[in-house]
Amino acid sequence: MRAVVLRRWGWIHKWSSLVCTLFILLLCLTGLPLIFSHEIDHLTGAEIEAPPMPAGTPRVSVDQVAAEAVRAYPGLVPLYFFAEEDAPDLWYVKLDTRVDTDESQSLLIMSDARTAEVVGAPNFDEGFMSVMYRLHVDLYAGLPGKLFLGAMGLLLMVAIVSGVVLYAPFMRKLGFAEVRRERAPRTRWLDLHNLLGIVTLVWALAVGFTGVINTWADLIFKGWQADQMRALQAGETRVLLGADAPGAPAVDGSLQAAVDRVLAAAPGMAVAMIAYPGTLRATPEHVAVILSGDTPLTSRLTQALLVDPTSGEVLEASARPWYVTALQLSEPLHFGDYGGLPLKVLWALLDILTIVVLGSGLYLWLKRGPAEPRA
Amino acid sequence: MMRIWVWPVIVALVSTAGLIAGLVSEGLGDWLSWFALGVPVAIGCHGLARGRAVKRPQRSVAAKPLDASAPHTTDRG
Repeated sequence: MRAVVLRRWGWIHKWSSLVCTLFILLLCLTGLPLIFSHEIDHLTGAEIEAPPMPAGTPRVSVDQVAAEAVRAYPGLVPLYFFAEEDAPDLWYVKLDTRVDTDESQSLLIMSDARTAEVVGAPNFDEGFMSVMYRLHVDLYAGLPGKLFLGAMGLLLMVAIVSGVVLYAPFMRKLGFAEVRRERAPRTRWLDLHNLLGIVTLVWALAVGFTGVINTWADLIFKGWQADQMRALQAGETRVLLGADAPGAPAVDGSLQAAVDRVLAAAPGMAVAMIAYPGTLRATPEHVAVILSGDTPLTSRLTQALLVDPTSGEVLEASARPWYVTALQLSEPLHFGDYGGLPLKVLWALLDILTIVVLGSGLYLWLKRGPAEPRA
Repeated sequence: MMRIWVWPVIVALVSTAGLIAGLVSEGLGDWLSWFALGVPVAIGCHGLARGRAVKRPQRSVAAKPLDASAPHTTDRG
């Protein structure tokens, strides 16, 4: 590679890294406990569990759960129901003052799916894990904070790619994984920076880029909603279950009947989420029911169906667009929560190695000599 | 060029396989992902452990060949 080209890549690597390093360090450090948030909640007793009841106790209707939640929290309305795979007897219910808020003041509670009783509200707003979460996700600054961290993530992508370009010229005289440990500390750390950077490359690119995509989640769902609305207005919908379909659960205006009709239209799928009309995930007239399959991949790649609670008609307004697929695949690849505890431990170790890459990069810049202005 | 890139490319392919395996299949896929993502972790940790500073002033011969520009390929870990 010609010296001038090399110098340009060096400049790109230096500045893209310098601008984002402190923020990425913060993301790596706060992300470390977040990898194990489930386990930490479990150990500290912060996890809320449904009271034990005989297996197979029937569930009450979601309308009853909603009514009980509103009774417990007067002045709020339900927006979403979420089902968690590992807590089948609980509904997570998100409440807010209106259905069309930005959810910055929303409240998440947990209700017993068998009695409708409110079991508790996970305390997301206090404590160590909450601080870690907010620092990791939005720096306490809402959507602008998310997008800012996303921009830092994009700079990290630039830093990684330029680092790969610079890897070859630095390794010309060295074998793979060779560390000149008897040389000056700066040389030793340069070798370690190159080694750790190149072996964590794919993981860092995957977690970094999926993190960037996650910062766009709000915008992605807004885009999908607009897509669905456009498809509805243009009549480009696919009717999965007509209003007068024989044998389908009867329409009675209730949310439960609407959900039952969706399940009748999509056999083999389970409810992952129910969105009330008017919320970000639904339309003003339809309930959206987000369904998930039962394999590791299809449980992430959800299908959204719309149901008119008054007519009972079940529609698919638009098949899941590619950008929603990208977002849904981005979540597990960012969180590392799809392969049990061993994968989480590997995620943590790769995170620590990345911290060493960032730290050594900073050190190499601080200790730069006049002879090596590039590094 | 080939010499420089062969190991990084292998590690990258193994990591990619590891990231995908756990996503598309449970059980066997999980095991594959643990082993595959263990590869960059093992190489990285090994490098860190071996890369600690050594002070062996009496054995200057050990440092000498590394300063030379002659290519040497082994000593991977």
